[in-house]
Amino acid sequence: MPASPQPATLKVGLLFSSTCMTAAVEATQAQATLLAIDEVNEQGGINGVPLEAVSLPIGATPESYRQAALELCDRHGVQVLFGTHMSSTRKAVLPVVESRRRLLFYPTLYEGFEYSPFVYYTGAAPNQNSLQLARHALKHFGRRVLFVGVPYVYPVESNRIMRDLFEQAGGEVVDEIYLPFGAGLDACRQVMARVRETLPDVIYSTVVGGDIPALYGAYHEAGFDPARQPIISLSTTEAEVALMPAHVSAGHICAAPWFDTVDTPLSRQFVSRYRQRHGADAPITAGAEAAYFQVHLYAQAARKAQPNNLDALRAALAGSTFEAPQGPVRIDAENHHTWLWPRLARIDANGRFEVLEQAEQQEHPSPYLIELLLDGNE
Amino acid sequence: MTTANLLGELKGLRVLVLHPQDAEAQIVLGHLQRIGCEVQQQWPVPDRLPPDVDVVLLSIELDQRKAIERLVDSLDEQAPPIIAIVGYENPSMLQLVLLSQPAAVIERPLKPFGLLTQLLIARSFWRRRVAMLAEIRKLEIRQSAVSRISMAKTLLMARHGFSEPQAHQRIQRDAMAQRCSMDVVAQQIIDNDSPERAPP
Repeated sequence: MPASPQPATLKVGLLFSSTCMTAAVEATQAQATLLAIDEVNEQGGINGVPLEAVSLPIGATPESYRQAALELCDRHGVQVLFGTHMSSTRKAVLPVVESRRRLLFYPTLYEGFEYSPFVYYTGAAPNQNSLQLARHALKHFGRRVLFVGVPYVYPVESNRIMRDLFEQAGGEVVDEIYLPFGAGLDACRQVMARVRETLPDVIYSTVVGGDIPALYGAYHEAGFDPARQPIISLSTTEAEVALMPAHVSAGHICAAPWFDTVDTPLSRQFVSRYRQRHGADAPITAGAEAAYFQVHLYAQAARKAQPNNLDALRAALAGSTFEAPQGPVRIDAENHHTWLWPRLARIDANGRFEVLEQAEQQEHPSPYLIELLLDGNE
Repeated sequence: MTTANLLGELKGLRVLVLHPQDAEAQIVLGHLQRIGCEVQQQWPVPDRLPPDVDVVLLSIELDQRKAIERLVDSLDEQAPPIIAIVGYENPSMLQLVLLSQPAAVIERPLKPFGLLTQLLIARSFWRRRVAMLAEIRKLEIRQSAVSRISMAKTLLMARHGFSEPQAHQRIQRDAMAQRCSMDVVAQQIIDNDSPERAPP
């Protein structure tokens, strides 16, 4: 009997939408995934078999992501999926990968409280970004905070965590506002009217995607001073800042494991390769950096295991490490989240993220931590 | 209620499904009909339940927090059991699940298997709860009667120098004579307008 021929390529699926409200940041994640796939293939693929990226058109709804995941698994036979951004879309895809026994690599910060043996989480858990942001705000601006977000699971849970942290410091949440998706400039102006009434020291934004420029625009128009009363956020990224005039975003604060200004050889190399491929001005986000290194983590594991032997693949992924642009990262064998490098940055007058703080060591992921402590949970 | 009875009542059970009209709702509605339930679907969450509902399936959604709070506030002790439908397990969601005081929980993605079990558990839990509440009401009434009678006896013992059995006999005799309960006689004695008679 002849040996079964080796397949010409190993198909992997991408789950990013170019039409949903977080399309700008998802585009950076898709492009970083493709860059990493190219690099893996330049290094000989998975033991001689190149990876082949398969992406399907995905709409704006969780159902659309689910349909794409089904088709990628059932019709294209992919063993692994890279992607999804909003929690609602990840949740929609989860039952597909669990029932088909495929792996999903999720490259986005989220609110925690999830684990699946079929999913690896390479974005920040709340203990890897919220804490740094709250500490900085409390130290430099004050204890009164106003929350503004959009109505879904990430903002609500992230606000709960922030409220805890501010209240631990004797602070106060002066208001908690949820704008509808696509609220627009007028709704953001009303938020600024509340800011004028309630006088918070910081505004914590969990607004996502396309609504972000309007929020910062309304802030700037209202004439507030970011040096005294900034917007702080985990969900504002290079992708949205690129859509705003530089003077609108200047002075506001963000926390993430990586910014496109991180000045290390590996980070510079990643930025330069990404821009060679996708354009000199292409914004790159922390989500893109996670999308990039997670492909390499997968490829390393797939080279050790037979790529379609799921158990061997998971065994190889447990505790595996990679020299990522943000620094060495490691998959936690127990909870499938990733050890990352918390950083905090202020947007400068040219719309670039100026890194103000960075962790001295990797922060372990704690996705099931109910109460974060300002002084640390160790 | 026996297990067989509980199983039997599933046919014709009136189930209200508070869930957006979508593909997942169709799975649940279809399966409930398969089981033989009478099903109605509604969304968003109403402030009050319509009458004639035996079980409620409630989708726990963060943007419905206020509506869920109002609905739960409107419920009385006899309100039908709630089966919560949950999609996330983070603390914000769990707070909302607890707020809705469910008798059972089903998880997304929704599927036919398991629904029957949760329906039965919710109904059986609800029946036991209603029976227990009725028992508590009965005991509360009995307890207050017992304490009234004991107070009346103490009064009689003080006024007339009765022994406790004598006081008891007196209340019993008056109750029989007036064709009312000992509790009523005791209340008369406490109110101090009971017909005072000379000791026997």
